[in-house]
Amino acid sequence: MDPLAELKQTFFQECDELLGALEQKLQALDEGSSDPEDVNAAFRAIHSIKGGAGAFGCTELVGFAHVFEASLDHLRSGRVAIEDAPFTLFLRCSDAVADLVSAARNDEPATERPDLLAALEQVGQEPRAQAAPAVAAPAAATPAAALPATSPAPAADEAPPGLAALGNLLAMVEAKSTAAPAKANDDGWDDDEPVAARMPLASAAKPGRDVRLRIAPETDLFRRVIEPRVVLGSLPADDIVAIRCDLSKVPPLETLDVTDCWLRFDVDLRTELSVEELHGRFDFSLANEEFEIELSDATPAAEPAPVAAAPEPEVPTSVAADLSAILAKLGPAPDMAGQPDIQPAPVPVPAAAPAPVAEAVPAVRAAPRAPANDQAAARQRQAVSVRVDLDRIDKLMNLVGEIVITQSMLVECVRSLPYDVYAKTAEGILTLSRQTRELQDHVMAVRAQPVKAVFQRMPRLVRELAQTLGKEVRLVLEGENTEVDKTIIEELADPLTHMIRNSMDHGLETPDERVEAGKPREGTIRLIAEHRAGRIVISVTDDGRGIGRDRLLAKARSRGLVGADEKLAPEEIDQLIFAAGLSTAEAVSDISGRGVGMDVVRRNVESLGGRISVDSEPGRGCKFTLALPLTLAVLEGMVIRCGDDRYVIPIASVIETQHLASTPIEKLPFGQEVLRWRGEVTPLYRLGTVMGSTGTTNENIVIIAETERGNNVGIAVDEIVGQQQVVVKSLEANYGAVNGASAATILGDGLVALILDIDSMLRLAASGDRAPLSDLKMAG
Amino acid sequence: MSLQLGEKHFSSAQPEAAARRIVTFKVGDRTFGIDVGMVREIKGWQATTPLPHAAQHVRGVLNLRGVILAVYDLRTAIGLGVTDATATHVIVVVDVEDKTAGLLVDSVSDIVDVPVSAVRPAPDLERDEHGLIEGLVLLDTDIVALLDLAAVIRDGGVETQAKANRAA
Repeated sequence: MDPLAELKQTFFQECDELLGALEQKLQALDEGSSDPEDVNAAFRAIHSIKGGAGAFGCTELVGFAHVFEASLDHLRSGRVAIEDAPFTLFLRCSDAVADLVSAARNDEPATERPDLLAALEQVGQEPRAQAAPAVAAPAAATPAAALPATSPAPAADEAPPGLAALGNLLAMVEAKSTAAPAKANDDGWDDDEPVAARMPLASAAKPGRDVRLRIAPETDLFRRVIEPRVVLGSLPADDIVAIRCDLSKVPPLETLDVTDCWLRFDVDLRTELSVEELHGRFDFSLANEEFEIELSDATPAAEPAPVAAAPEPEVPTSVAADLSAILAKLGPAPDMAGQPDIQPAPVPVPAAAPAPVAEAVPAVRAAPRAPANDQAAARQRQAVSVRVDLDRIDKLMNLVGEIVITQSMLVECVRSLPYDVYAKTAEGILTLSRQTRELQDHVMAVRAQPVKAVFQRMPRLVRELAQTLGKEVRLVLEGENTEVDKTIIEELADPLTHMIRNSMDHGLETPDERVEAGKPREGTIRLIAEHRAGRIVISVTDDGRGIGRDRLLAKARSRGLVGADEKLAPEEIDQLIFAAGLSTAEAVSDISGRGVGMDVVRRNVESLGGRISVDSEPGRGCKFTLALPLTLAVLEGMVIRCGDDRYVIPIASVIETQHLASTPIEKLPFGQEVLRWRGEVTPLYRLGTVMGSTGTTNENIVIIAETERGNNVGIAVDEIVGQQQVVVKSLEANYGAVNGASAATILGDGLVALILDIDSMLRLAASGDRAPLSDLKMAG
Repeated sequence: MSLQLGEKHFSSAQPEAAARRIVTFKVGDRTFGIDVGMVREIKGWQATTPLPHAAQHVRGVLNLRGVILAVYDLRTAIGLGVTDATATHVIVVVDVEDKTAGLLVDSVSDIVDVPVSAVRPAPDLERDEHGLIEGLVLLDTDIVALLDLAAVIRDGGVETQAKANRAA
């Protein structure tokens, strides 16, 4: 892959994360958070998307993101109060951005959203806005505006700094070379902003003494995942008099490694902090030799502005001059710059500024208001994580599976050694076993992902459905950080979507109906994930009308699923919702109601070794509970033998085992064998017959297993070999689906054993001869 | 098989332009060939785990370094019965379409270069109802039947036959 395509791919990956963050923050704000940090985070997310999109020429995305960003900016500036902001609109816009991103990713034409754009333009145009101070630059207090010279910093909150730096540089070049007004602003800082607006706020009247900081980070700053904004942000915002960025060390663009940091900063402070305290502020971000603290003897000047912007004769470079230099260097490289005549300096024209030096920036006014320590901790967490291709983890997992098999092979070999040799090796082998198991656990942990990846798609689903259905819904997410193996994550989206659709469509009433029933207009759906007994349990609870049992039962009768005079307990009626071909929606909608919903969900969930159940309380609501194993990569299995062949039955399916001799077997008229087990007539299947085992079988042990429908069956086998954790291997990858088996595994001797799927086995048995009576009765 | 074949003979020692490099192997006294590019590796016979109610020529599955693949008995596929596999038998591991499969044969003979022009279309044999033979190449001593591997491992046709056999 060429480097640009690779960068682009990285950008889209980041977009996914940024979109998630954007939506999450907007959601929080919509739900009443008034934390300005949420606004800032949302702003940064959209800003980062815009920056990257500009770099990769996604013009529609840039255009939309720009307008979106501008309206979010009104919130940050206080021009629009957070309480008054149209977050519903913003959330729809974040969906639109997601659409644009995915269009750009797939190289599809983007859908224009003039309606949303027009609505966004309205934000901040209300009378309230006019009452606000007529400063033309609300962005004065934004990180974007704050640090013009530190190109990597402005918006790259979540992005790898190197890439963001490149993105900003490219965007800068592009912005200058494009006439499109929407993009004139795209360079990551607002060049239309009068410099006056940047005048620092720390005044001479402030108590404290003058301190000068010289910050000269090592070039690996970005690679340490630290941005200048973070460094500067750890200073008390109010103490900052001026910040100057020294670009003199920045090499020519053609030799610039964007992951190198060449920026130097001089910060004038008026502070009450001691030198030690200042040291402390940089503890997490800078090494001691990367900054100097100088106590200045000069008395503060009377007028704040000149002091703030005081030119520093011994620092020869101003931002404007330096950027000119950089851009001049860009000039002779048209292949990189794209346009030959690049105007220098996308920074405010110094002439317009009251002070001769343009770089005096009250950057830290914009620093997130979260306590510096929290932020530091967050940064550090970020710094110790790496992005790893899933493929690599899969390979690692595969290899670990191999080691597990080799190790159990070794154990079997060692057993046949003479005693004295065995004794010597046994301890080592034991240690190896333990370490292998640990290794496996750790690799599994690496693959674990929070369910957030799936959960965060749901708010959008709910929003869109709410609009289509004319319902008012609040979605509450809990336990988003619950971790499961990625194999399960991939399987969660479908059932969750169905469950939520079902709740939205069938469960929740319309606002009017709700009011009539004495409930709040707005329905609530809770999506909760938690770990319980080695499984992940996800529940979808709504406070709607519950399952309409009469209607469901009537329908089931009319379909012949339930006998006309058969009596069912209320709970049993509820379970009919999972029966095939039943849908109680009065009109078949395109949301749910095709009757293919819940039964398919149930089948899919059970094929993964999971369970789904429903609890309903008429008039109060309905709760779907989904329990899945934490991984599909390994399972706890019972190894059994029948004839010459060995099989694995998932422990989750096994209820108990017993000798067949102790249980009387009877034969029904059609030849189906049944046995009495705990007072129930349980059909008995002989594994050797069903699976066509080779060799002779005696089948004197019966395993009572549970089917998906919760019925019990007996499976006659020759021998129970043992119980062990097995690595699940796909049969479909190189062969195809095998009747009676869900997958295969490799046993200690290197041979393959099929992992039995009870339901599939029963279907296989039924297709071989007459369906057993029990199966007929079970139908539906 | 009474086939009219051309007179052109050539040996493996004389690779020509636009040649196909072919791995040849034997089942009984018959020689078969496939393009060398399809062969991933050649390994000795290894016990397989039978699959329930699979087509007759599916010997079962085995573990190749953590990957599970199915082994097909070429002898069964061409209608000559089931191979009584021993340690001297060979599994040719091949890549077919997007899958990896094993082909059980008696032995692997040679790798030869054959000009593309020397590959003759498979004669329209009624006996080859599943289209297993893609073409024929005449070597000094042997007629090499080039296999259409996808057809050999395909379940459909052969399985129908297997089912018919079972039903009989």
